[in-house]
Amino acid sequence: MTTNTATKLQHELNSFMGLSIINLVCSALVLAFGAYFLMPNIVEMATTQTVTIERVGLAVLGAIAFYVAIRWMLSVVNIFSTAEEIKTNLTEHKKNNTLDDTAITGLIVNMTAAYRENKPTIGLMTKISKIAGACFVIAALYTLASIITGVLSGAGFWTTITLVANMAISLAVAVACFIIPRFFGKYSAVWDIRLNGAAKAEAELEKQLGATGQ
Amino acid sequence: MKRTHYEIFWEILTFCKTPKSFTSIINRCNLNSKIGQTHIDFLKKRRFLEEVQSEGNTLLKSTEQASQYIAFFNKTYRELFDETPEFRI
Repeated sequence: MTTNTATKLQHELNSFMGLSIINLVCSALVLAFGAYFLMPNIVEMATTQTVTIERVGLAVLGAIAFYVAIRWMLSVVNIFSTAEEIKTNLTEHKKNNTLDDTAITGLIVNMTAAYRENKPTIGLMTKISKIAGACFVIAALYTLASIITGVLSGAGFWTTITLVANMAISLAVAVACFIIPRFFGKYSAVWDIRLNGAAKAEAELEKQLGATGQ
Repeated sequence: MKRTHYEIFWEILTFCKTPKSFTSIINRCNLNSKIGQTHIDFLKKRRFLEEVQSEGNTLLKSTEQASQYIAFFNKTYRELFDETPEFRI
Protein backbone atom coordinates (compact mmCIF):
# COMPACT_ATOMS: atom_id res chain seq x y z
CA MET A 1 0.00 0.00 0.00
CA THR A 2 2.74 2.44 1.05
CA THR A 3 4.89 1.39 -1.91
CA ASN A 4 1.98 1.89 -4.34
CA THR A 5 1.22 5.32 -2.94
CA ALA A 6 4.90 6.27 -3.02
CA THR A 7 5.17 5.13 -6.64
CA LYS A 8 2.06 7.11 -7.54
CA LEU A 9 3.47 10.18 -5.76
CA GLN A 10 6.74 9.79 -7.64
CA HIS A 11 4.96 9.43 -11.01
CA GLU A 12 2.76 12.45 -10.40
CA LEU A 13 5.72 14.58 -9.31
CA ASN A 14 7.72 13.48 -12.37
CA SER A 15 4.80 14.28 -14.69
CA PHE A 16 4.27 17.66 -13.07
CA MET A 17 7.95 18.52 -13.33
CA GLY A 18 7.95 17.39 -16.96
CA LEU A 19 5.00 19.67 -17.59
CA SER A 20 6.86 22.52 -15.87
CA ILE A 21 9.89 21.94 -18.10
CA ILE A 22 7.71 21.99 -21.25
CA ASN A 23 6.29 25.29 -20.00
CA LEU A 24 9.77 26.65 -19.34
CA VAL A 25 10.92 25.76 -22.87
CA CYS A 26 7.80 27.30 -24.42
CA SER A 27 8.12 30.46 -22.35
CA ALA A 28 11.78 30.77 -23.43
CA LEU A 29 10.71 30.43 -27.07
CA VAL A 30 8.01 33.07 -26.56
CA LEU A 31 10.67 35.33 -25.03
CA ALA A 32 12.87 34.81 -28.08
CA PHE A 33 9.86 35.41 -30.34
CA GLY A 34 9.12 38.66 -28.49
CA ALA A 35 12.71 39.87 -28.82
CA TYR A 36 12.78 38.80 -32.50
CA PHE A 37 9.80 41.04 -33.33
CA LEU A 38 10.41 43.84 -30.83
CA MET A 39 14.10 44.74 -31.22
CA PRO A 40 14.65 44.81 -35.03
CA ASN A 41 11.47 46.84 -35.57
CA ILE A 42 12.41 49.41 -32.92
CA VAL A 43 15.97 49.65 -34.29
CA GLU A 44 14.65 49.97 -37.85
CA MET A 45 12.22 52.74 -36.88
CA ALA A 46 14.92 54.57 -34.88
CA THR A 47 17.58 54.39 -37.60
CA THR A 48 15.33 55.18 -40.57
CA GLN A 49 13.25 57.73 -38.61
CA THR A 50 10.22 56.20 -40.34
CA VAL A 51 7.20 54.85 -38.51
CA THR A 52 4.96 52.44 -40.39
CA ILE A 53 1.82 50.73 -39.08
CA GLU A 54 3.30 47.32 -39.90
CA ARG A 55 6.49 47.98 -37.87
CA VAL A 56 4.55 49.43 -34.92
CA GLY A 57 2.17 46.46 -34.98
CA LEU A 58 5.01 43.94 -34.99
CA ALA A 59 6.88 45.82 -32.25
CA VAL A 60 3.72 45.89 -30.09
CA LEU A 61 3.15 42.18 -30.72
CA GLY A 62 6.78 41.51 -29.77
CA ALA A 63 6.49 43.62 -26.61
CA ILE A 64 3.32 41.76 -25.54
CA ALA A 65 5.00 38.40 -26.19
CA PHE A 66 8.08 39.53 -24.24
CA TYR A 67 6.00 40.61 -21.23
CA VAL A 68 3.83 37.48 -21.33
CA ALA A 69 6.95 35.27 -21.51
CA ILE A 70 8.51 36.94 -18.46
CA ARG A 71 5.29 36.48 -16.42
CA TRP A 72 5.02 32.89 -17.66
CA MET A 73 8.63 32.07 -16.74
CA LEU A 74 8.26 33.51 -13.24
CA SER A 75 5.09 31.46 -12.67
CA VAL A 76 6.78 28.28 -13.89
CA VAL A 77 9.83 28.83 -11.69
CA ASN A 78 7.54 29.36 -8.69
CA ILE A 79 5.56 26.13 -9.11
CA PHE A 80 8.64 24.20 -10.22
CA SER A 81 10.52 25.06 -7.02
CA THR A 82 7.62 23.81 -4.85
CA ALA A 83 7.45 20.51 -6.78
CA GLU A 84 11.23 20.18 -6.58
CA GLU A 85 11.11 20.65 -2.80
CA ILE A 86 8.49 17.89 -2.41
CA LYS A 87 10.44 15.60 -4.74
CA THR A 88 13.62 16.15 -2.71
CA ASN A 89 11.71 15.24 0.48
CA LEU A 90 10.41 12.05 -1.14
CA THR A 91 13.89 11.10 -2.37
CA GLU A 92 15.42 11.71 1.07
CA HIS A 93 12.75 9.61 2.79
CA LYS A 94 13.43 6.79 0.33
CA LYS A 95 17.19 7.09 0.81
CA ASN A 96 16.93 7.10 4.61
CA ASN A 97 14.28 4.35 4.64
CA THR A 98 11.88 6.60 6.55
CA LEU A 99 8.99 6.48 4.10
CA ASP A 100 6.32 5.38 6.58
CA ASP A 101 2.58 6.22 6.69
CA THR A 102 3.17 9.58 8.36
CA ALA A 103 5.87 10.59 5.86
CA ILE A 104 3.61 9.68 2.91
CA THR A 105 0.66 11.57 4.38
CA GLY A 106 2.99 14.54 4.96
CA LEU A 107 3.98 14.51 1.28
CA ILE A 108 0.31 14.28 0.23
CA VAL A 109 -0.51 17.22 2.53
CA ASN A 110 2.36 19.21 0.97
CA MET A 111 1.16 18.43 -2.55
CA THR A 112 -2.42 19.34 -1.62
CA ALA A 113 -1.29 22.62 -0.06
CA ALA A 114 0.94 23.35 -3.07
CA TYR A 115 -1.97 22.81 -5.48
CA ARG A 116 -4.27 24.97 -3.35
CA GLU A 117 -1.67 27.75 -3.54
CA ASN A 118 -0.76 27.28 -7.21
CA LYS A 119 -4.31 26.93 -8.52
CA PRO A 120 -4.64 30.61 -9.57
CA THR A 121 -1.13 30.50 -11.12
CA ILE A 122 -2.02 27.38 -13.10
CA GLY A 123 -5.16 29.14 -14.34
CA LEU A 124 -3.02 32.11 -15.41
CA MET A 125 -0.47 29.87 -17.11
CA THR A 126 -3.24 28.11 -19.01
CA LYS A 127 -4.46 31.48 -20.35
CA ILE A 128 -0.91 32.69 -21.11
CA SER A 129 -0.17 29.47 -22.95
CA LYS A 130 -3.22 29.95 -25.18
CA ILE A 131 -2.19 33.59 -25.87
CA ALA A 132 1.33 32.42 -26.70
CA GLY A 133 -0.12 29.78 -29.03
CA ALA A 134 -2.11 32.49 -30.83
CA CYS A 135 1.06 34.65 -31.10
CA PHE A 136 2.95 31.75 -32.70
CA VAL A 137 0.12 31.13 -35.16
CA ILE A 138 0.28 34.83 -36.11
CA ALA A 139 4.07 34.53 -36.47
CA ALA A 140 3.68 31.44 -38.68
CA LEU A 141 1.11 33.23 -40.87
CA TYR A 142 3.39 36.28 -41.12
CA THR A 143 6.26 34.00 -42.18
CA LEU A 144 3.99 32.25 -44.68
CA ALA A 145 3.12 35.64 -46.19
CA SER A 146 6.86 36.40 -46.43
CA ILE A 147 7.47 33.04 -48.14
CA ILE A 148 4.74 33.69 -50.72
CA THR A 149 5.99 37.23 -51.35
CA GLY A 150 9.57 35.91 -51.63
CA VAL A 151 8.65 33.14 -54.06
CA LEU A 152 6.65 35.55 -56.26
CA SER A 153 9.53 38.04 -56.32
CA GLY A 154 12.11 35.30 -57.05
CA ALA A 155 13.82 34.97 -53.65
CA GLY A 156 16.74 32.53 -53.33
CA PHE A 157 16.33 28.85 -52.41
CA TRP A 158 18.11 29.11 -49.04
CA THR A 159 16.14 32.20 -48.02
CA THR A 160 12.91 30.32 -48.73
CA ILE A 161 14.12 27.20 -46.89
CA THR A 162 15.08 29.31 -43.84
CA LEU A 163 11.65 30.91 -43.81
CA VAL A 164 9.92 27.52 -44.16
CA ALA A 165 11.97 26.20 -41.21
CA ASN A 166 11.05 29.33 -39.24
CA MET A 167 7.36 28.75 -40.00
CA ALA A 168 7.58 25.06 -39.04
CA ILE A 169 9.17 25.95 -35.67
CA SER A 170 6.50 28.58 -35.01
CA LEU A 171 3.74 26.07 -35.80
CA ALA A 172 5.33 23.36 -33.63
CA VAL A 173 5.56 25.76 -30.67
CA ALA A 174 1.97 26.91 -31.29
CA VAL A 175 0.81 23.29 -31.10
CA ALA A 176 2.80 22.81 -27.87
CA CYS A 177 1.26 25.99 -26.44
CA PHE A 178 -2.25 24.72 -27.23
CA ILE A 179 -1.48 21.25 -25.77
CA ILE A 180 -0.13 22.60 -22.43
CA PRO A 181 -3.59 23.77 -21.23
CA ARG A 182 -4.92 20.24 -21.85
CA PHE A 183 -2.26 18.78 -19.52
CA PHE A 184 -2.92 21.46 -16.92
CA GLY A 185 -6.61 20.66 -17.30
CA LYS A 186 -5.90 16.98 -16.54
CA TYR A 187 -3.72 17.94 -13.56
CA SER A 188 -6.38 20.33 -12.20
CA ALA A 189 -9.18 17.78 -12.70
CA VAL A 190 -7.33 15.21 -10.57
CA TRP A 191 -6.39 17.69 -7.84
CA ASP A 192 -9.80 19.36 -7.76
CA ILE A 193 -11.33 15.96 -6.91
CA ARG A 194 -8.81 15.61 -4.06
CA LEU A 195 -9.38 19.17 -2.83
CA ASN A 196 -13.15 18.65 -2.84
CA GLY A 197 -12.68 15.39 -0.97
CA ALA A 198 -10.47 17.13 1.60
CA ALA A 199 -13.08 19.90 2.00
CA LYS A 200 -15.82 17.29 2.52
CA ALA A 201 -13.68 15.47 5.10
CA GLU A 202 -13.34 18.68 7.14
CA ALA A 203 -16.67 18.13 8.89
CA GLU A 204 -15.52 14.69 10.01
CA LEU A 205 -12.12 16.03 11.07
CA GLU A 206 -13.88 18.75 13.06
CA LYS A 207 -15.96 16.06 14.75
CA GLN A 208 -12.78 14.16 15.58
CA LEU A 209 -11.26 17.27 17.11
CA GLY A 210 -14.36 18.03 19.12
CA ALA A 211 -15.59 14.58 20.06
CA THR A 212 -12.35 13.04 21.25
CA GLY A 213 -11.22 16.20 22.98
CA GLN A 214 -14.05 16.35 25.49
CA MET B 1 2.02 26.74 1.11
CA LYS B 2 -1.70 27.14 1.72
CA ARG B 3 -2.72 24.63 4.40
CA THR B 4 -6.04 24.25 6.18
CA HIS B 5 -6.28 24.34 9.99
CA TYR B 6 -6.78 20.57 10.01
CA GLU B 7 -3.57 20.03 8.04
CA ILE B 8 -1.66 22.33 10.39
CA PHE B 9 -3.10 20.50 13.43
CA TRP B 10 -2.01 17.18 11.91
CA GLU B 11 1.53 18.51 11.28
CA ILE B 12 1.84 19.80 14.85
CA LEU B 13 0.49 16.60 16.37
CA THR B 14 2.67 14.24 14.33
CA PHE B 15 5.75 16.37 15.02
CA CYS B 16 4.97 16.33 18.76
CA LYS B 17 4.80 12.53 19.04
CA THR B 18 8.05 13.09 20.92
CA PRO B 19 8.18 16.20 23.19
CA LYS B 20 9.07 19.40 21.33
CA SER B 21 9.65 23.04 22.23
CA PHE B 22 7.35 25.82 21.00
CA THR B 23 10.14 27.26 18.82
CA SER B 24 10.89 23.94 17.13
CA ILE B 25 7.17 23.43 16.42
CA ILE B 26 6.70 26.80 14.73
CA ASN B 27 9.92 26.36 12.77
CA ARG B 28 9.09 22.86 11.59
CA CYS B 29 5.45 23.66 10.78
CA ASN B 30 6.40 26.97 9.14
CA LEU B 31 4.12 29.12 11.31
CA ASN B 32 4.59 32.57 12.78
CA SER B 33 4.54 32.73 16.58
CA LYS B 34 1.04 34.26 16.78
CA ILE B 35 -0.62 31.67 14.53
CA GLY B 36 1.48 28.90 16.11
CA GLN B 37 0.34 29.96 19.59
CA THR B 38 -3.33 30.01 18.51
CA HIS B 39 -3.10 26.49 17.08
CA ILE B 40 -1.19 25.11 20.05
CA ASP B 41 -3.62 26.72 22.53
CA PHE B 42 -6.52 25.13 20.62
CA LEU B 43 -4.91 21.69 20.73
CA LYS B 44 -4.04 22.05 24.42
CA LYS B 45 -7.61 23.09 25.22
CA ARG B 46 -8.93 20.00 23.39
CA ARG B 47 -6.34 17.87 25.27
CA PHE B 48 -4.55 16.81 22.11
CA LEU B 49 -1.32 18.37 23.38
CA GLU B 50 0.06 18.32 26.89
CA GLU B 51 2.95 20.06 28.54
CA VAL B 52 5.84 17.96 29.80
CA GLN B 53 8.87 19.11 31.75
CA SER B 54 12.32 18.17 30.53
CA GLU B 55 15.53 19.50 32.07
CA GLY B 56 13.76 22.63 33.29
CA ASN B 57 12.15 23.30 29.88
CA THR B 58 8.45 23.10 29.10
CA LEU B 59 7.88 20.93 26.05
CA LEU B 60 4.72 19.90 24.22
CA LYS B 61 3.74 16.32 23.50
CA SER B 62 0.73 14.91 21.65
CA THR B 63 -1.60 12.84 23.80
CA GLU B 64 -3.24 9.46 23.28
CA GLN B 65 -6.40 11.30 22.13
CA ALA B 66 -4.37 12.91 19.33
CA SER B 67 -3.47 9.55 17.84
CA GLN B 68 -7.14 8.99 16.90
CA TYR B 69 -7.14 12.29 14.99
CA ILE B 70 -3.79 11.48 13.36
CA ALA B 71 -4.97 8.00 12.32
CA PHE B 72 -8.24 9.35 10.89
CA PHE B 73 -6.42 12.13 9.05
CA ASN B 74 -3.85 9.69 7.59
CA LYS B 75 -6.60 7.34 6.44
CA THR B 76 -8.68 10.14 4.87
CA TYR B 77 -5.80 11.76 2.94
CA ARG B 78 -4.37 8.42 1.82
CA GLU B 79 -7.76 7.34 0.52
CA LEU B 80 -8.25 10.66 -1.26
CA PHE B 81 -4.91 10.24 -2.99
CA ASP B 82 -5.12 6.51 -3.69
CA GLU B 83 -8.69 6.48 -4.98
CA THR B 84 -8.34 9.28 -7.54
CA PRO B 85 -6.85 8.65 -10.99
CA GLU B 86 -3.13 9.23 -11.41
CA PHE B 87 -1.99 12.40 -13.17
CA ARG B 88 0.33 11.57 -16.03
CA ILE B 89 1.48 13.55 -19.05
